[in-house]
Amino acid sequence: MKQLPEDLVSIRLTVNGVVRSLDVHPGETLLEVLRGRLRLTGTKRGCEVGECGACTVVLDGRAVNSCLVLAVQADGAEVLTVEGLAREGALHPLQRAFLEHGAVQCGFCTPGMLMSAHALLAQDPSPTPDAVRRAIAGNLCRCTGYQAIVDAVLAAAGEANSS
Amino acid sequence: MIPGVRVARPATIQDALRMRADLGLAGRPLAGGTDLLIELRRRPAPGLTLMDLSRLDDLRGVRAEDGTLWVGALTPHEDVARSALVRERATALASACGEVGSAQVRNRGTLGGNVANASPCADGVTALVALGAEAEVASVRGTRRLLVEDLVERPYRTGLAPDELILAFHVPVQGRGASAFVKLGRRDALAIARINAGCVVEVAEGRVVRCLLAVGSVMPRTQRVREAEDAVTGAPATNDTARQAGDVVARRMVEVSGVRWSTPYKEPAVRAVVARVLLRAMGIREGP
Ligand SMILES: Cc1cc2nc3c(=O)[nH]c(=O)nc-3n(C[C@H](O)[C@H](O)[C@H](O)COP(=O)(O)OP(=O)(O)OC[C@H]3O[C@@H](n4cnc5c(N)ncnc54)[C@H](O)[C@@H]3O)c2cc1C
Ligand code: FES
Ligand code: FES
Repeated sequence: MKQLPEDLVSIRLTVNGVVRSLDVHPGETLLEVLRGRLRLTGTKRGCEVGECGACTVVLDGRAVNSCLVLAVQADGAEVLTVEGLAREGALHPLQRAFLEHGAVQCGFCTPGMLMSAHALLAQDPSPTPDAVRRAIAGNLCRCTGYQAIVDAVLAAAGEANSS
Repeated sequence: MIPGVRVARPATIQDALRMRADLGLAGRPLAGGTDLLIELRRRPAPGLTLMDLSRLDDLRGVRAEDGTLWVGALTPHEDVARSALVRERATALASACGEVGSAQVRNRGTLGGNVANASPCADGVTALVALGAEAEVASVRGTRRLLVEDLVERPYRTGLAPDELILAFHVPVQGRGASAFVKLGRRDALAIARINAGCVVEVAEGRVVRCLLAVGSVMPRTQRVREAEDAVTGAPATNDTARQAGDVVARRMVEVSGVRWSTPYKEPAVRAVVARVLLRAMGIREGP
């Protein structure tokens, strides 16, 4: 990270496996950089105070609210967003499970839910229903009533473990 | 966007302390940002320099020291909650950190930020006060250690000088399961507890031989309630004793703060939280 004139700051981070170098404002959030600069608009902007989870991304292996991380704090880090889940056109098992279990209605919460679930399964490949609920407790959904989402995450975990 | 701020990222503790001394009130330390970034969005402070502490890896982690656990100020809540040492030797702190906000908030928010922010209902603060933990605070002028109970002076106000940083906490170790933490929130996740309690209880031959008890959002500041500790010490480790302690704390609350609009709601809640935390530390299942 080096400080440039006009108070811009150069950062380098890896987003979905691709190294990106950018000059950002010190006060810009990771959410703003992902959506505005990198056009990765799968990550949603909701409350911007850490309460809804719509902006959740995985930062160095952990689910975080990207509205509460400055882009400069992600200098040198590895970021995974919902755009990084599908491989060669094939949906990620979590994404497929969400569709199969009716866990997507309006879809606004879905990217954040997927990233929270992804971080959970990376740490705990066979979570209990309670562990799933705890992992997504910071992701609000106004549509589904959550049960379908919990079922989808458990199903994706089961599938990954049996294959 | 946090308007008008600059960011500095010191690479060593020495650099950070020097920077803090140079900037004084023109700088603010930034740890996980889960309190500070929200505050700066609500109340912009153009010209402010944020000192991002996240490169100070030496201030992250947990290790056993002589009779205490060292917990770095930059350790995120999630890591404190998962640490086997903290779970076994300072159970109240592991539970408190495990109940903060959501996974996303626990992954970023740090114990040092929780204390420095000094919210009246900060979960980490209550647990640290109950455990009799000390904060290690440093500036270019030197290092000092003081009880967390004394550092957090009143809501949103600590005794930190403008050139000081919290480096770590020293938490006296307890026997297995001898400490506990309970909070009453509006919702399971995300609710910033309006009432919380932490305690240490040692029992020998069925009697309480030592008790530390702290409550948050009950008194004007997070503090131990000596009257209740004294009432419990020497008494049998039972349901009744736990309930009596709850009565003592509720009475102290009214004595100290007077009767307020919230008292009819708070009194029974305080009784219940205090009784519950003591029973948990005694290893007794809650009665009917
Ligand atoms: C959605 C949500 C839910 C939450 N739920 C809870 C909850 O249930 N319980 C709870 O207790 N809290 C909760 N919080 C509050 C917050 O997450 C915690 O207080 C957290 O521990 C703050 O730490 P931080 O690292 O994010 O601090 P920051 O926001 O980075 O900093 C907070 C303050 O501390 C100062 N500071 C930080 N580190 C140091 C240091 N080492 N030395 C000196 N000063 C320092 C900063 O300058 C700032 O004034 C919640 C927050 C959100 C957004
Ligand atoms: S937009 Fe980040 S938590 Fe709501
Ligand atoms: S599907 Fe609409 S908010 Fe979750």
